[in-house]
Amino acid sequence: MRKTSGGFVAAAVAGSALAAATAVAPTAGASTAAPRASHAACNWATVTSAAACGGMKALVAAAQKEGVLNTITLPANWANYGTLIKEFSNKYHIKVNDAIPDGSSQQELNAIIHEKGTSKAPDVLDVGPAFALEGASQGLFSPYKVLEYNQIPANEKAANAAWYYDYGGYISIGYNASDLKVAPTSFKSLTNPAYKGSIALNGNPTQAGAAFAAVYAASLANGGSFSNITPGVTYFKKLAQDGNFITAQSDATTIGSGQVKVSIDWDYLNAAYAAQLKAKGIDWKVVIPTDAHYAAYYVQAISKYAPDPAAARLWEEFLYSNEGQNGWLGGFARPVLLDHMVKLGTVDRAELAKIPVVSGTPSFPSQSQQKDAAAVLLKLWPSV
Amino acid sequence: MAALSAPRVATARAHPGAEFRLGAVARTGVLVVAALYFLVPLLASARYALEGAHGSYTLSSVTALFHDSVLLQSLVTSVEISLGAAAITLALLTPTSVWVNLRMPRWRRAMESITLLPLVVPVVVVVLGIYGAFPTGIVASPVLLALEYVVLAMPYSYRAIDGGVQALDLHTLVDASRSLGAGWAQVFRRVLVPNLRSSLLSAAFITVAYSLGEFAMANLLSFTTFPTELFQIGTEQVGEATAVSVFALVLTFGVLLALSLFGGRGRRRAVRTGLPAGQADGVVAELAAEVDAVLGHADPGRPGIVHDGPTMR
Amino acid sequence: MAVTRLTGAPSPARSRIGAERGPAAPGRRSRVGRPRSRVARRLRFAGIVPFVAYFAVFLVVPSVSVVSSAFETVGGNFTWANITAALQGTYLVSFEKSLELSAISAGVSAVLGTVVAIALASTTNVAARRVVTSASAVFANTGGLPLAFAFIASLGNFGIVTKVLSAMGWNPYDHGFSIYTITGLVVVYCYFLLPLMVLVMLPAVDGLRREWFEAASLLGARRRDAWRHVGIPVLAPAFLAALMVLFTDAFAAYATAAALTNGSIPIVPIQIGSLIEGNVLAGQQNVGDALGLGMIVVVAVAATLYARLQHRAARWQR
Repeated sequence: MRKTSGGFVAAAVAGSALAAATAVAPTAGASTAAPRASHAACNWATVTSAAACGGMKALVAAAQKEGVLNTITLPANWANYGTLIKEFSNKYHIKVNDAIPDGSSQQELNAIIHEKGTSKAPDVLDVGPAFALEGASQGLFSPYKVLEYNQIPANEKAANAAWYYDYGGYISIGYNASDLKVAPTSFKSLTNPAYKGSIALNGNPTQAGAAFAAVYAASLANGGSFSNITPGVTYFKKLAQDGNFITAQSDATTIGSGQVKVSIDWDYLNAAYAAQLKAKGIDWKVVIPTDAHYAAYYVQAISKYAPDPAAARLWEEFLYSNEGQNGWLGGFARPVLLDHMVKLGTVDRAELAKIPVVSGTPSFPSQSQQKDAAAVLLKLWPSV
Repeated sequence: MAALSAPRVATARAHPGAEFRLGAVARTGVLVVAALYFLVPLLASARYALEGAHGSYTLSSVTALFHDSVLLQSLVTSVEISLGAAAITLALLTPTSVWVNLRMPRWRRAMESITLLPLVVPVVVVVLGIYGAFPTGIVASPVLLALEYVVLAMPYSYRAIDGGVQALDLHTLVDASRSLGAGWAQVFRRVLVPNLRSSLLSAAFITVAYSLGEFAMANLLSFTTFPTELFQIGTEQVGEATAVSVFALVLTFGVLLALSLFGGRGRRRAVRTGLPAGQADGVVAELAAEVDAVLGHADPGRPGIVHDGPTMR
Repeated sequence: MAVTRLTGAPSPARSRIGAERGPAAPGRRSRVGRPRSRVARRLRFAGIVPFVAYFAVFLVVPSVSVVSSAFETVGGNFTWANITAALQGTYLVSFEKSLELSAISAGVSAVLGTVVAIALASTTNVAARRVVTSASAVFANTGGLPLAFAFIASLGNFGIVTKVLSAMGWNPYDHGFSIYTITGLVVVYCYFLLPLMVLVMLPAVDGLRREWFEAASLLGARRRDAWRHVGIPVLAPAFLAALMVLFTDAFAAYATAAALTNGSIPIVPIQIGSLIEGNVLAGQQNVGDALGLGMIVVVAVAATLYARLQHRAARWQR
């Protein structure tokens, strides 16, 4: 538990501010629910904050009554989700069912639509920003403000609280330091013949977010911009012609067997391999390319048709608590409340030290820019 | 016969090259090259799966599997789905085949073609159609997989059942039992099914094997089955998934080989029961050829059967 | 496959259903099953209703849905737009690549598979036959990520075979070979297509009667001529039929190519997968259905050819 009194007070302040704003019975973070708050009449599916329905205690009770949480596309090694799920499950005695861990953001939206009304439907989502906008425009989300909602920067959440950023990272270069004599530092450095046959992406850029981001980052490094992803495609085309870039999928198996020696992927994913690979005798290092800082956050949202709405909301509260945020930090991802936690001293310093330092604040492509880039990629990628 | 054989032998000696079979050198060469092509990638995988740190070898990847509760759960799910599919297959196709052979004999060929239709529609396309046509409730339930696998495995399972039914003297059996006063249920239960036992078993095996190995549909419909979970592990865990694949392959081969050796003895038994030896051998060979998760839908004994089973393709 | 049995014994007393008088002649099928009246003839189809219903719901309905959606806009109006989109640009390229890959891998596997089948049929060693047949059954169903990795681990840039060849002085990657090209994919596809071919051709090769070749040699033919005039014509229909099967299989294969190429070689199943799993471009939702329709058409043509050829092939195996 990383809670310190500072964070607790802040949460309490935020909670009471919310409570005041919504003019419901006051709480001090942890709830002393006013007796008149009738949980029975409270429809957790439409509640927009914990305070509105009896506070955290009532939320926990309602969630435990539901007993189940359906998550989707949360691989265990992705930003420490495995540990986070276990912690949540043990703390609240709620069973967590994670569907299709290797699925894509599009599949999450599909699942909401196709599984509506069934008990298997997902409760909460973790999607790429473009898909969050898409889902919100289709009315698939239920707005909710966690206790720390006000600490999330304004440009990192929806105006109506339909979705909010959770954690993010930078596109990084992970490499096998045991096998490679020359350490890569930038996209430019990857053109070195020393990397022949070694470089791979995490998936198909027309389908997978991490690979898509890698091509975007490569275009930034080669004179492109958020509106112009073509230089990125050209870069990979040249890299493929030189024989450096291979179209294998970089994952635990291909990296662990030494077939893929350089992986361009999110920094938290690359970093997560290191411990496992050490056991195999591989020294795996991660660097952020010097010629392109491409960052992206992922986004949390609660499904409008969630079969377990209280559990869904409790999960969000958990993720935005110090425990949850530091949990993501433990997975080498940068939680959205990082600056706030550093200021308050609630951050886990040991974990923070393991994350590569990147100076400057990142900017993100807009939804239309991403859509255009995706269309261009769909047309051009097959020629790589 | 004797008169015929003399010139035959003489001719063979005069034109030894008229034999179509390959000479010993050629056929050994071909088979050795083929063996290399198939075994080397397998060994490369196995070597990686068993490798520990610093060049040592360890079985830790394999043992880790048995502790993976999600994988074991997915295996249970897959087994349930496959048993369900097999049950539906038998319940649906056996009466159908009997009926067609009994009452609609001219439709036999047409039925064979109809049951081949699932091979014409690729799995990816079926999934698209399911999203478009089926209500959400059923799309979310794993029961859908069992129901669809019945149709997708039908080209093989129907062949197995139909072959057995056609090998019976159906009319005589049915005539005899009906004239002795049996109702249709009794005819089925006490006359037909016992005679069709090996075909039914074969069809059940085919369906189970297909279901346990099917990946594309389960993955696209977002279900967690054994093959999809295996795929997931392969992307996360170093070595585990490769270990399972190699292990499953070796196990399947061992079981098949054992069954085919056992099948040889089955031939003699079948002769005693009156089934023609060739037929029995074919049926048992069929049985031998269909078992386990990573299995082939092959039928070495029967000509012209379509062999097309992209499961983990 | 008509089965008429000589029972040898007079048939038992007639059942109440059926109409034949007196004992059936040996070889005649009994008429128990064959209704004579019109009503009865219609009722004949009653027994397969469950099957037809099941088949219709679980195969016909999805297929028809795809075909009809291919001609619809998102709003439900008729349009050719999806079909035209599916036949242009990347999608057209993906059809070309799919056909190229399927044709080459099917062709190569067909020829090599026949050779292996002949080698197998030539051996009298029953154990060897059993081993190879069992192995073929197993390998015919491999594919996907495990197969892709097995080949990356052997023929990839740092694969074990590549290392051995480099040590001997000839690195295939220095000479333009890569497992991540169409050529590489063909090599990988052979892994499951060749065993399929062996299993399908083995009965046909077994059906090559030794006596035909001996008769040919009696008439003065050399080995080459015997093959040309006897062997190949007999094997040809079965070969072509098997070729169609391999083609269909290769065309629909998805996971193996996806794992090896990650989209850089577009083939139709992967494009459809992208449209289901990836970012769907606005207004293009039904293009996937049009692609699906295209796949059905290609495979249907191959299957029809197969059916015709299988009919001819079956003659020689009685």
